[in-house]
Amino acid sequence: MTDTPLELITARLARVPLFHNLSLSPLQTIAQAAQRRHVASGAFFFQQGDAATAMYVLDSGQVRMTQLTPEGNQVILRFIRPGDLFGGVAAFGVKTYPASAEAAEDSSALLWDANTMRDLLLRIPQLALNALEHTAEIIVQLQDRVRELQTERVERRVARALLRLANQSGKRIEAGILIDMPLSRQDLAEMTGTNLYSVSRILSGWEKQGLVETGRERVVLTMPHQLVMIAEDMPGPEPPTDPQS
Amino acid sequence: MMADIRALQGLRVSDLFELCPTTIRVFMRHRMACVGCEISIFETVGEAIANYDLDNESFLKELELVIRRSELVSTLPSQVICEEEL
Repeated sequence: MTDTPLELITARLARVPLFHNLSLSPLQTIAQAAQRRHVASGAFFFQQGDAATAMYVLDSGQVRMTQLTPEGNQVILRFIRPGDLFGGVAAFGVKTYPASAEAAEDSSALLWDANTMRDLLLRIPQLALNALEHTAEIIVQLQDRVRELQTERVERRVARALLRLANQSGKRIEAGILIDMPLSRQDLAEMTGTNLYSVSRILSGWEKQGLVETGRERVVLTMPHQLVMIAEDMPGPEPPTDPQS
Repeated sequence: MMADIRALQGLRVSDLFELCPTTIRVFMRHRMACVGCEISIFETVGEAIANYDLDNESFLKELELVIRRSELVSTLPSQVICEEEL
């Protein structure tokens, strides 16, 4: 199906995690069903919202998986390297691609149309098992990402709440800015739509870094500027590089 | 004219913005988050400069330039200065 000799494709496929532990005969069947597609740097294998018609395995080059936010900003989800699977949703009944696949450099991929791949999955149990393992791996990665994002967002919310409180009822003292009102961690949790556990964890972390001092219903912002950096999601100690102009 | 440009360092950032709004431009140019910041009522210009690791001299000169143009020259430095900072 492609200009590359079948043996060569078979050998390459054997190294792709999705095709691990397959004996030669099913590997050859899979290789025979493959097509090849080259995409120049900057062009797309498919775009977000396109009908999901094929599953790809990158053979050479590099692909960027991106998604557009409702505000029109592009977010990079992950990079695809040779041997990696992309557009796999096509084989599992998803109708449109949820993300775009843009070639970050001249790239070449093997692809199987969705129906062909579904047929192969039915016929080759090891392939189906590999696909499930791959999916599980991605779920684990995504769960880690979600956790990171959630933690980060809570941190920003807590930093913002403290700065707001400092602005409204703060007092300059030797050590920094004292939030001059009884303020429990539970209060902070409710202000920021999170729970006591998260607030305690975040405040303990900041205390270790010297950003705040907390006592019983008492908070001192010892490095208020660093809290601003967290709240604004700006780079830490390194100043923005903007020459005097 | 302006007694001493270094006196600006003791001025609260929020007071500076109130007295001479055109100085906001200087802070924006350096991508500082001071404009609209909750703690600008506590932090002095000197502290802001230090927070962003900027060059004291040149930043104050930039402020001076803007202030001179805004006709606040005679009133600004002596009028509002954080007592505890001086």
